[in-house]
Amino acid sequence: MTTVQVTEVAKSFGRTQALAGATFAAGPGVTGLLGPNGAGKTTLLRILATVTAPGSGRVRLLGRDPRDAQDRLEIRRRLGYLPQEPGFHRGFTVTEFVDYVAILKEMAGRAERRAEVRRVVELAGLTDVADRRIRALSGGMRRRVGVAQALLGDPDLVVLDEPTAGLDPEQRLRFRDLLSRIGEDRTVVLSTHQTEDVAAMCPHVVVLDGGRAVFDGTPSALTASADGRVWLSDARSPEARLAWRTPDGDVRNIGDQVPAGARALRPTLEDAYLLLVGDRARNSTGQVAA
Amino acid sequence: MSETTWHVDGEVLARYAAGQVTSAVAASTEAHLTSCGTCRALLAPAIPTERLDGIWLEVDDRVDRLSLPWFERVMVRCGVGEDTARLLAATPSLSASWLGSVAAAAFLAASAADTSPRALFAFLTVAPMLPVAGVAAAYGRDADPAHEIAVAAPYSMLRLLLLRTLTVVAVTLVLTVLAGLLLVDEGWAAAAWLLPAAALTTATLLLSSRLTPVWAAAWVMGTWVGGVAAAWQATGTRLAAFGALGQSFALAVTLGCVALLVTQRHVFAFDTRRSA
Repeated sequence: MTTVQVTEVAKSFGRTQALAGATFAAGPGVTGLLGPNGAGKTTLLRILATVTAPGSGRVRLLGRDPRDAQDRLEIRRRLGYLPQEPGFHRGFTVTEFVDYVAILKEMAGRAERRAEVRRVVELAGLTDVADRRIRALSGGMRRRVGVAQALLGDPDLVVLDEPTAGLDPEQRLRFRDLLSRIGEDRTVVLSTHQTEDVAAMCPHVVVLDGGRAVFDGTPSALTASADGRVWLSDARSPEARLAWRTPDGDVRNIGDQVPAGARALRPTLEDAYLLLVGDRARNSTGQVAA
Repeated sequence: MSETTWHVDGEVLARYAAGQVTSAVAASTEAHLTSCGTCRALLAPAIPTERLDGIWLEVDDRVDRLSLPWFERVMVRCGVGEDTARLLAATPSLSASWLGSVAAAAFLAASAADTSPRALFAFLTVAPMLPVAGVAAAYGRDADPAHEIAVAAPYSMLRLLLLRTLTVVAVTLVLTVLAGLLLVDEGWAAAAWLLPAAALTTATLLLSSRLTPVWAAAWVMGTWVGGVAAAWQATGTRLAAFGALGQSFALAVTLGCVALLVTQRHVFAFDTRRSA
């Protein structure tokens, strides 16, 4: 079942073209959007969250057209959204802020709304700080507040822009567990710079580059695209498109031509991603060529 | 507490569980239940879970209500609904520091207005811009940190904008009218800025459908100052913009902007962000 259908969507901001005909479809489950900085991930997610309208192309969400006012309202009633830079009213406590969003989500009945707020605060692991002011929380905690508000009302479509940014390893694991449970029967679309997150919890991955979807498939299919293109050697190979020294002292090379004497390696999702988007990805992943 | 030697009749317990006993019987039963584990054990399975959950929700709700922040408590006492009070609590230009600045600006301008015609002109020019500044700081990406989350929610953005605007304008008007009445001698002058204020505020709201509220307010205030100066230049009368013609023009602008706002309300459904 397709719940998100994006067809030839383009969007420009002045002279900057953020999306240049992106096309992909997603259904229930977790879909991960990968791409270097400026690839158009945030713009695409903002369109999926109905925050901005596409310049051209067609979008259908949960079987509805977000250009139509009534359809857009119905989509928003079934949507949870975490922006890339979620702002918070810092004077609010965690509970007050999530309750504020619950009011915006038209949750009627004060007592029921409070119960729902408590539920998502607990889901995000924030019960202990529920009455603490947001300005007193760490960046990771604030991120979890953002996630908590996105889960209000058990939405059918959850759009999360870099939800794991700023989370420590334990929080990230908890978050993966939470998302994979949500994604069992709902559509979750998230963007991330972390290929490990995609490998761990996304059965579907879309790679954006230059405003277009340059890959749309499973993580294993993406990884397989790098078969025979990753090898270890003592020194950086001139044929390698990217190479870096591993903690063991060897150099991990990725490229199209394997030099003689090099030891072939089983590729990872990150290798395949780097091969696909090339040098632009290095800025996103922090990977440094040797 | 020791266990009692008698027990509540089973039928009475069943009626108590269903909420069908008189208050006297309920009070007597409850007094007994506090000291009788046997009757409590008999009663527990008879209590409908939904009813119990509902009671707990109500208890939680009452407890939560006691801890409302001061601003929301004040709004609720003024007759504003609790949900609306929470939406308003997130308005930056309703913070104590902002309102203090508005009051200070209004009182300074008004106290100076009493001393010379030039200062009266300054008061009349500044006063209509105070609510506009409040509106600019009440809504939108620049003022509301959670604006993007709000846009993606089903709550009408135009409704939120109007709600905050009305509150900000009402509070600002009270402060500025008070300052005018207390400190400006010429009676007409204390009210001559009201229609221009309405015109500037509605024009800002209208432009907010295309620009961020801060930019919209900047454009409107710049145009206002230019217009006041131009009217003075054209007529040779310093307060020309506040005369009958100026007031009529302000009324026409207000009505026109309100009409356009109604027809363009759908535009507020999206963010006005202009960059990726």
